[in-house]
Amino acid sequence: MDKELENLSDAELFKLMSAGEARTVKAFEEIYTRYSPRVYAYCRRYLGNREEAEDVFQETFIRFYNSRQSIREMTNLGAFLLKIARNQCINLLREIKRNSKFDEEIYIKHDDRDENDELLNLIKMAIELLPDEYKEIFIMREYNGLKYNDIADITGLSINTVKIKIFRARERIRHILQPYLSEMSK
Amino acid sequence: MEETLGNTPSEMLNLLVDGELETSQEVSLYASLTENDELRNEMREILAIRESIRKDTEAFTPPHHTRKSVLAALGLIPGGIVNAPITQVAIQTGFWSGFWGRIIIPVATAVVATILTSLLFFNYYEPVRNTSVQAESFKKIPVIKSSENPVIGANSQFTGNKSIVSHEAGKRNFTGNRNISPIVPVPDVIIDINENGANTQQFDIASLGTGFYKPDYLHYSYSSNNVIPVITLTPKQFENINMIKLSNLGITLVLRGISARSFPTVDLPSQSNPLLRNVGLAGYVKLVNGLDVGLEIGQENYGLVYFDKSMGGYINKNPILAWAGIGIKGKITRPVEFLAGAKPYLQLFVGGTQLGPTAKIIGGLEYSWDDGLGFILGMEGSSLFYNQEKKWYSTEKLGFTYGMLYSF
Repeated sequence: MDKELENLSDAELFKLMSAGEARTVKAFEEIYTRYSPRVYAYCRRYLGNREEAEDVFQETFIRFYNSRQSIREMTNLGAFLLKIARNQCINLLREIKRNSKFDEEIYIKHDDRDENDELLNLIKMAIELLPDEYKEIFIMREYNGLKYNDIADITGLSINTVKIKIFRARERIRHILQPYLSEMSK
Repeated sequence: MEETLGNTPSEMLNLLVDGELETSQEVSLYASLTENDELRNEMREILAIRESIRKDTEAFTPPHHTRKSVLAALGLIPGGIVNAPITQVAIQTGFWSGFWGRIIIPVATAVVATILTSLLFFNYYEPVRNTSVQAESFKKIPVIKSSENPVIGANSQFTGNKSIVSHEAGKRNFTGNRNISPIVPVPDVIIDINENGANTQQFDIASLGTGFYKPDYLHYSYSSNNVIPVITLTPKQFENINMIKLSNLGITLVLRGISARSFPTVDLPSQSNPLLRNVGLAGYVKLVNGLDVGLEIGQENYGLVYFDKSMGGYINKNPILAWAGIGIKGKITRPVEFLAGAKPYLQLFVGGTQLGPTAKIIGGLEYSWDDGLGFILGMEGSSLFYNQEKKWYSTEKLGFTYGMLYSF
């Protein structure tokens, strides 16, 4: 990877990518390197399904690249990418629900169990059991490390609502994991 | 009233671990943590969950191929589109992306077909006013000439060596000999006069030969078009041709391409409809004037989206399905002048594929004559019904169809 690009800020990279010059691809690749883990983690944990997560993840970066000319200034690249990913996830879930005549439990999948970390497996399961409104905000906070105001910006909710939802999500997860956590604390 | 957060020690603890606790509340929370075992336990649990989430490497590691796939889909690596994965992701590559990319092939085909058709129409055939007493309709007739001895009809009434073509309201009327015999002699000179009666042009057609041949069901007309094609035939060849034409079996063969988009849209690369993979071949027989029936076979991509229980999710496919069935086609048999001589048609088709029944409706324009080569250009809508795990699904397609036909 271009060492010089690694030292550029998100805004500078985005500007370089939008300029349509020779280093457009390099700039895009650097942005991909920086943000792909977080975007993929969001898609992966929010959707639960690996194939769907991959599709939405890829489409997020494709849409991001194609939108480069229409955005004058990029102030929060991470939030912008997650906003695209979130819209794609919501559209996909809406489509699945619209076409689905099947029971809800079909969508609870555990295809990536880590045999070495029982707590992590339980957390994944607990996240899948969260209602969507809590799930996405919890993932943004815990997997993407976003600040409350960024989450509020992406979701269109007030900061106070975001705080409450994160608190409720944690309560629910702790409640689901309680038997294990109690055992662990002994 | 909106609920607020940060009043209880537990709520403050959550704000603390997220780095959102106000400094003024920190002292109060630390005091609670010192005194309250349950709160300390809660803090341990929250931090344990966070620590475990950080070990979720599977979630934080996008598959290796995704980088290449994204770059390929964006056309940012040479030859990348070839290696692009078949996923739900829209494959967009520079110029070929989006709406315009998807319609460019059918639009370009339509433009080329229109240009070719127009050239054929206006250079090889010329609309003329029928001068016969039988009908006042437009016909488009080929002019055919023999290079051998001219055969002059015995009942030819042509006696002069000049014929006159005049302009009248933009139409050309033959004002000379109104001979309707099967074979007419050629005049030496045609004088073209405008609306004011003044000679404007004189065509020496002596070079065209000494005789024209035409069947009696066509009406010969002089033309001022200098580029009338002259096909040199012996009288015997000419008779053979006319025998074929006179056979008039009312059979039409159609070879057409289809460029259509599936709904639901699966956004697979194969959705781009490669020309040679979406084709139909039909044979129609004239039932009554303006109404044909026939059989059609073909193959086409259909986007399929259905739920697969074993996979636990929705499956997207875009297979090529072979189809066959019967069709009925109605058309206006007379060329419509303001459509450049095209004949509007409507076609209904019902048939089947390997997966289930299909139906099509096609409307468009046909550039054709009673016999010989013609072209079609139209819009096509189709539906495919298929069953997966005892549940019926349907796919609709909408797009263009274009092709050629040959009538016997």
